[in-house]
Amino acid sequence: MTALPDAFQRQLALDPSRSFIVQAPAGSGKTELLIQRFLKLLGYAKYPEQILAITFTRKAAAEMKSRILAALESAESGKVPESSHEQLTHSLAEKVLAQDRDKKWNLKENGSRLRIQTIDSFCMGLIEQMPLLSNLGGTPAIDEDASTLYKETAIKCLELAESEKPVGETIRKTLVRLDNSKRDFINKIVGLLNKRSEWFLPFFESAELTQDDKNYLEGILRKIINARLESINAIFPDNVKIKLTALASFAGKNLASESRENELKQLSELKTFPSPDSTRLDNWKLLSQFILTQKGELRKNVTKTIGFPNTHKQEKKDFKDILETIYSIPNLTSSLFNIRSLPYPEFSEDEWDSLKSFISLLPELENILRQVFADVGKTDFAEISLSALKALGSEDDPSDLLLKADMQLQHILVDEFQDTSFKQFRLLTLLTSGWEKEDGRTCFLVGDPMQSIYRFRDAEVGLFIKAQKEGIKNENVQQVHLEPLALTTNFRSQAKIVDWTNQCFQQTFPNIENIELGSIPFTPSQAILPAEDGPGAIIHSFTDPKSNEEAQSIVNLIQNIRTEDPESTIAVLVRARTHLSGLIPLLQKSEIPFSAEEIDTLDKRPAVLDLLSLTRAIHSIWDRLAWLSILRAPWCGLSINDLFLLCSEEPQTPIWDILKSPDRFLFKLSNDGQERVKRFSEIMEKILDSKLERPLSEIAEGAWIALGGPSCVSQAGLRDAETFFTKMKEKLDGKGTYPLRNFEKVLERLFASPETDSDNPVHIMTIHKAKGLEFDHVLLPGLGRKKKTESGRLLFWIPYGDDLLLAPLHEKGNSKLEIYQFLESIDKEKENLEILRTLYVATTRAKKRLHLFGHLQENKDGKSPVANSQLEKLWPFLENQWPVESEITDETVDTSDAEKEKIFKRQIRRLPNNYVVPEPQPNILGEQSSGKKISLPTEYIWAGNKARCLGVTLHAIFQEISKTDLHSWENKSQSSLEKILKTRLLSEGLPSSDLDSAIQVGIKALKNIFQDPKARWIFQNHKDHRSEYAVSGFIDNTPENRIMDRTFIDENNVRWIVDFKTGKHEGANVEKFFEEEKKRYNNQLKAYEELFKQLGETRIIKKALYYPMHQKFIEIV
Amino acid sequence: MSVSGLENATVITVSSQLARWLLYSNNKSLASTGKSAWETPNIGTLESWLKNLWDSSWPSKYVVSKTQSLKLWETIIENDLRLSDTNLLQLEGLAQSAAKAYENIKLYSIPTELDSFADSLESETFLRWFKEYEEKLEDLDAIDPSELFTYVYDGIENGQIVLTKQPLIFSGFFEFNPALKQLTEFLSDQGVSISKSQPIENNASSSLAQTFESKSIREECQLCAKYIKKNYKPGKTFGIVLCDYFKYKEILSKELTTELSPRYTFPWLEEETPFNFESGSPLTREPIIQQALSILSSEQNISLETFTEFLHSPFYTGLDKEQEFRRKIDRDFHQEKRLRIDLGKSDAFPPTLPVLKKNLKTWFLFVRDNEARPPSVWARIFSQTLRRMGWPNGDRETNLRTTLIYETWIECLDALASLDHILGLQTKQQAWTALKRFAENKSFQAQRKNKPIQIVDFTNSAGMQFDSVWTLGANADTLPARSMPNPFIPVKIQKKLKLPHSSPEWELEFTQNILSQFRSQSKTIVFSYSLWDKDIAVRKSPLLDQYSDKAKSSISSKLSKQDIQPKTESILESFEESIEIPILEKEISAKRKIWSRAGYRLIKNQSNCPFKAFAAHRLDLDPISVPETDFEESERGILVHNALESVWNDLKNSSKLRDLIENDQLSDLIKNKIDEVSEKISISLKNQVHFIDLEKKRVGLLIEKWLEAEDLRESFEIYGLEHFETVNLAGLELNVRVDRIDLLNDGSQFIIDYKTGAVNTTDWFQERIQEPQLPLYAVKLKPAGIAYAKVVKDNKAANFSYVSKDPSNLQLPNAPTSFEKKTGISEWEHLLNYWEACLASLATNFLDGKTEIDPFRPGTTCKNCGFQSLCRIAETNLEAFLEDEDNEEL
Ligand code: SF4
Repeated sequence: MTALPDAFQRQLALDPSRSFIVQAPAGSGKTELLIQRFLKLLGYAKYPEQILAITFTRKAAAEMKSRILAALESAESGKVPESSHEQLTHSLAEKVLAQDRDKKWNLKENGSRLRIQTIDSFCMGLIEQMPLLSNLGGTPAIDEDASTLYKETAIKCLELAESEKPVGETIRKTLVRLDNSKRDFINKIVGLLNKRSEWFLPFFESAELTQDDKNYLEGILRKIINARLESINAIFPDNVKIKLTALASFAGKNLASESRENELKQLSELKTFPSPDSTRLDNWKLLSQFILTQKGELRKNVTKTIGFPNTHKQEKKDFKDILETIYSIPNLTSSLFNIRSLPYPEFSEDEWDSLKSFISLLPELENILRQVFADVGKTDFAEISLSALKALGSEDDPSDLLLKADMQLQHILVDEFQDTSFKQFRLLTLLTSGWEKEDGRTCFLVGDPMQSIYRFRDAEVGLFIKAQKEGIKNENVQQVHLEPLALTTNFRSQAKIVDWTNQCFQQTFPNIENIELGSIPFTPSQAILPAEDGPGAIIHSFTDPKSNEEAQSIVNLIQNIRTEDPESTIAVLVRARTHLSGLIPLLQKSEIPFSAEEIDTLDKRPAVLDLLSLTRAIHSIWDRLAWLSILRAPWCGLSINDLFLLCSEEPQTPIWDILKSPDRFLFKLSNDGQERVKRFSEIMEKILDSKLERPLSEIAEGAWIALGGPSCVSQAGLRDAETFFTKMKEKLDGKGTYPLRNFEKVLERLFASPETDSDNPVHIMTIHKAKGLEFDHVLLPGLGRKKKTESGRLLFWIPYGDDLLLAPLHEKGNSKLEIYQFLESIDKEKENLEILRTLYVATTRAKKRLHLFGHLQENKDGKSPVANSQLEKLWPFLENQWPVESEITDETVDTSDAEKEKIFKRQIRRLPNNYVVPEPQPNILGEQSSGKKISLPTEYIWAGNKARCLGVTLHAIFQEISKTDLHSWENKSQSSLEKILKTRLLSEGLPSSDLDSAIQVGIKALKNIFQDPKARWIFQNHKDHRSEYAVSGFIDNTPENRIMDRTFIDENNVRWIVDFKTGKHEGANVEKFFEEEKKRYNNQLKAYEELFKQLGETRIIKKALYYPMHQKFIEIV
Repeated sequence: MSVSGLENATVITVSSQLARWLLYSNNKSLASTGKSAWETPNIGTLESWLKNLWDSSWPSKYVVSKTQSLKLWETIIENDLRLSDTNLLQLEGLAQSAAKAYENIKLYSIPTELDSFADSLESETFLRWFKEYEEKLEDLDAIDPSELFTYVYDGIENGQIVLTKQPLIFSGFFEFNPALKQLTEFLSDQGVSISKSQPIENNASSSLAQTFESKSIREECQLCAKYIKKNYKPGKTFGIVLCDYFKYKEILSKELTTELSPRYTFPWLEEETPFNFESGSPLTREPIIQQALSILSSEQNISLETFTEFLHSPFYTGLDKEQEFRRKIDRDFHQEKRLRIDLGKSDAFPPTLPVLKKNLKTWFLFVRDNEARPPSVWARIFSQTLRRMGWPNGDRETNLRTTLIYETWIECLDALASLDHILGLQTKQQAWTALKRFAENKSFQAQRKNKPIQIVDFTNSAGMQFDSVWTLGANADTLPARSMPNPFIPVKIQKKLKLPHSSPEWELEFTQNILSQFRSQSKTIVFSYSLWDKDIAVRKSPLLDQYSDKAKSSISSKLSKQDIQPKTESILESFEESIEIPILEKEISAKRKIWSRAGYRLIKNQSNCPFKAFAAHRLDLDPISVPETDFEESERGILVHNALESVWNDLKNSSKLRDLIENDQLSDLIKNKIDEVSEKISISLKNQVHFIDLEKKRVGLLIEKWLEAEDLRESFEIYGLEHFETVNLAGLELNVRVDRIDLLNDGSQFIIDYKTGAVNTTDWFQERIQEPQLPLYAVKLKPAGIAYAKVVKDNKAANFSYVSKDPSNLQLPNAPTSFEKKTGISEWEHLLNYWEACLASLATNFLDGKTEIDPFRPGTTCKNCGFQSLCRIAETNLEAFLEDEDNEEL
């Protein structure tokens, strides 16, 4: 086997004494490399926890861990693999095994010692050990969908509008800016909270903006503007500058003499060519106007409107020449045009004012949010990592802290480093603080800047480049020097695909690197796999984006592949869910098995809609829509006509009331309808009767099954229902009436389960989800579409290199503010670069063949891609390859009309009328509930626990008395009795406020006993006397454990069973009370008697109750 | 556990579950010997054994309960952190860790010196709390349970505690902690026999161990359920051990129920399940408790929803007798659209509802109580208030479940009451919060008895013996589990002393101990694990490598669940129905008024989608849209409309407007008018003084700017405001009301509709007119133009969107929409005819009873419709929902 082209780099990467940052393009086998290095380091480690590997997802962590363990296993088995890189892994693993044995790590049994985790779980581990430093306290549960909590926070924040404190004023100001729209306010605040993980940026720390901050922010803007001007200035030839200045001033003067308004008049003042400095932005803008038309094209006509009257032929010609020169300089025209969108680097008073108040909102929001978190006992991911940062950042030397927390890190490996956020980078900086060169500690960062696609989760690809250049620095001190390495081999795709992507992206990726914008030049890969027959990539174009033409052609293609190459894997990858354009129903119709991951939301599923109606109906009889809907749902399946007949004459009556008066309405229905309604009502009756017996989710599920719901849905529907009930249990049970409405919102954010029974389904997912995966055939639909743009943010900020750009939202109804717009344009630039990277990720998933689907838009210059679509980004390369005629239009069956037909013809599917829901089987114990109501002794009165505490205490004393003897107790002083009672009563949980009175009662009870001969008799040292005698046995055929207060055999050889009742009857008619007590305890004492008989007692048994407070002895006969 | 040898011994268990289970197994095995009664063996937890010994000396110090101890910790921590201005997210969890640390310090005799604890902020701070806790206990004259070891030791030594010489059998302990070790050694010196329980001889060699792998957690739970169903025989016990209790609990519970006691799913059958979970579900999940808690925390003004719930709740008295009248009042309130009910005004309710009124009075008095009181007094007030209303059984006969819930509830009240000396005076809100927390943390078991199938957490399974054990979730991440040292004790110390969960080594050893115990105690053991946890791959626990995987097929593959889920295809029938439901005379006469009142909305609905119109106007449905705020767009609009109406009512014509502007009086007029109309603003906003103020200002500016724009027009007079007309469309009479009609110089009319949101004139021109309001008007009045007046905040000049016969006589600053471009019709009169035809055809469709499901723009129309659940469009046209976002951009 020939050596890999990048073999040297791969080998270098395993040097355990050096730190690296590795650029590893798609398919270059970076996971294997990570594993090898991890093993290598393990081979040297003192203990395994010294090495930390951070992965992007939990899934990746699990995979990496299991591959390492598998390597260890295979090394243990001793079988040496064939391929050379596997051999390397094998030998590294052998070394680890030796260590493991030596140091008794038990790695195999204790896999959790391998510290391979996501950044979130690493942070979680940190804060578990630092509950105080992190300000978290106990470890809260994480709500993966915290948007409900954000919303709650926003609402609470809005309530502060009525506050008289300064925050009230701030919120009112904000409201005014949003045209006083509460809804908008809430949305904007939620938007801010969504970006909360960036608030840690040092800038936000002080909530109050000062003049210094203003200078700083404007300074950055100035810097950027200067840089942009500089870049133009640099390509402007010097001689052009001079000539242009002269001509501009000439033209300006000409215009100045005219009466017409013309901004260019100002050019007359131009004496020198403007320096690349924001102070001269005015001049630059004028020049741009001078040279370019409104649309940004180079002027074709040089006329007097711009200051060149026909009389001055020479100047005219000179200017034309200059225009031509400018035209010949690449990028100059567009750069000149871009000057127009450069803002003046000064915040207006209004801008600065708003900025100040918005920023001052942030700490308020954070407080409210924490309060909300505390109330529900949950938190979000952002809080976890922010808290970890807080914990680490509050120490001078975090590594010291880590040492104490038993986390001495020697080596850190980070996967997918291109998707690192500032927050994570900061964490990494903190973790490595105090590290020095060649102290044996290393970092190993792996990633592919070309595959950075998580901007929406704050990923900043510029950080990768920065780390390549500067290593890891803290306050200008480099703590880790990173040596850059680059891999080039592609193990995944066949040669033709590699070639295609190389060509495509070489042409479309930017040429220059730019940390701030995250622009990355393309680095090509080298294929290892040979080329396959046929083309590597195929473009499918179609015409009408509104029809399902595209979806249909995808289905056709999938069918073809599945016949020709049934074993191969197929994936449909999209940038946004909406780009699927109705593919899913078509796949369903064609019975092609698929697994759609996070594509379909639950609230669109018919089965779920029915469940929601059912729940709503159970919840409220006033919900007319829900009630009619469940009558219509397949389990009842009433025809529309019957529905109409049932309810149209009673617009105000709850449907359930209508159903309950069958004589008045039912006869109007068709026979079939009557039967259906009858069956339905019978079941609903039971459900409504018992609806408060159990949590709502259980009632709803019971109802659904009883109605035959499960029989009405497919397997997928069953799974949806499962998810529905699980979520309902989590979100609704025990939460009162209010959240039922919110629950619908929850469903909108839940995805239908991707599970399928097929072994090789078509995978449908977003490109983001496909990161790290590979498929034989990759289909990319919707390239011609664009993504919805987001609405304005209250505060717009973009990290820019080490700095931060910041701008406030404009007032509603006004146009956007210049700086804000400028930020948006930078954001857009970044976004455009990211779209390209996303496409790179998508195309490099393919092993055998790639299919691209898209459409063009007709415009005046012919056809071109929709602006901001993905296709537009690839256009420079694809333009020449774009198929002239659509290859597939012919095959396409336009089904849209047929589809429509179906909607008109109303066909519903429902359970047949004679359908009987199967009777559920009895419980495996063979027990059936008797159904009869059991009479229970409990009275629902709780008037404090005094009676209970006193009872228990006295019983204990009685037991003690019978164990020792009465005299010793009689002789105790009042105060010692009080003390005894006090301790015991408190120990039972008696409130201190009841203590005195309880002690008095206790003393009274004891005194009564000492004085009552009957009591003294009970406590005598009788034969076989026992107190608190515990006996078990069968009562009513069930085993029971019982405790008898006192039992003994008296002088007449009678077995006595006595129960003490320590309560006191306060009211009149004591005799009646005792009569009732007799009845009440009859059964209980009978049971005791029965137990004694079972135990073999043959004596006469007598039973009695004894009331110390009354000195009353009652025999029960 | 066999009974022999137990009679005179005391069995001390590691957990209360184990104690209960031992008692249960003992009962079972004795029953099987034919006995019908026997003395209950002495089985209890270590904690209770120690406490009993301590109490038996009639000491002067009492032992604080767990609740008290935790609250004590919470108070100490809270006070301490307040000093440093730290605000924690989770106090409760932290207090638990601190309490645990305290316990371990006592059990392992860890010296609490500053030196060794100066390790981290956590341990250093803890030391401070530790001291305070001890002082607090001293003050209370109490001791912490973990101190019992020493106290009991001393008590025995100095003769205050008298020992019975009964042998002690410790069950479920692998290793004694130092405190216990010391104590037991001492006891043994005193002649007490000490032993660790040996499992009954199960003939360990015959025990059969196997493992199953499955694709998902659900499948794994299903396998387990099927296995038990297949192997259950009366008298046999099963243990289900969960390695990750909370991940598996709900899923397992569901699968076991469906498989083993499907009848439980139907609450009306009042069935019990044949299994117990070690801990049930939170008490607060029970509706009974939830309602009680909501009453106890309510304010004087309750929402209609809460009121309705109370009205029909069987948990309070009066429902039976007053049912009919309660329905009536409920219906009345709903029809009146009352949002809130004032508890203080129940006197005004009809005399037919005496019990309800009495109950509401009780509620009201409670709500008004705002004293600070000791927790025990609050507990009593809570309980009495509810009881006075008849809670929890109302008029019903009580059932087992209610009783069990109530008993658990009492425990919460007890816990609250025991906090007097720890918390001091509390507000109602504070007491309520504490009570709620107790209820949330209280696990509720819906049955009283132990069942032969027990579900336990792996960590608590030590000592449990079953005929058969199935361990779920036996994967590499849980067996052994990740170590979790306590944050308050320096890790070095924890490791050195081998504190529980302090290191991976401890976890491994502990896990191995339990596993070997399973092996020796049960006849059959099964381990199962799922290869996938959602999308994350999971590995089998390496500790199970010695066992081979069994095929799933060895367990019957059919779930009983499938009995009730026959294949869809074979069961559902297709049914075709007519899409026409004719309107008969009767309906017309009954509905005439309602339809007239519906006005243009009827036509609009019909044009949106015939089914929508049918649902709204013939089935009388009203899609309930949930307002997100208390002041939505529509309400904002109403204020503007009313103010403008009122202003023009004064002005009457454009010259008056000019006068006012010239004399600088316009602003005053506007301000007065806004003050006037905003009186009618909804009650929920009444208290929001600042907000109303902002809103008035906003509307003022908006209107002023608008009127200034109107001032630029040719002169006109107001012909009508809120003008009302009746239009007859193909026999359908509709009332229409329009904001304003201007009379222009040439005598023609110009119809104006104020819009405070986005406008779209395109919707005037489709054949199915999507915005029929103004066209409807135009058809009737034949004006010279119709217009939307865009009264919106905008930095551009305010203007109209309009079409007109002759734009020149309007002199509006902006050009009209060209209807010719949109419709191909060039003459204004023809346009009016076209509209008339379109509108009439929609009306005819409605009157013909057309009900087809045909949304105009599937994406948007359906999304804003609200009737999806009834028309079931998602079944036939999924795209209608999916492709919404894209519509805007294409
Ligand atoms: S949801 Fe769509 S199809 Fe159903 S009634 Fe409403 S508009 Fe018509």
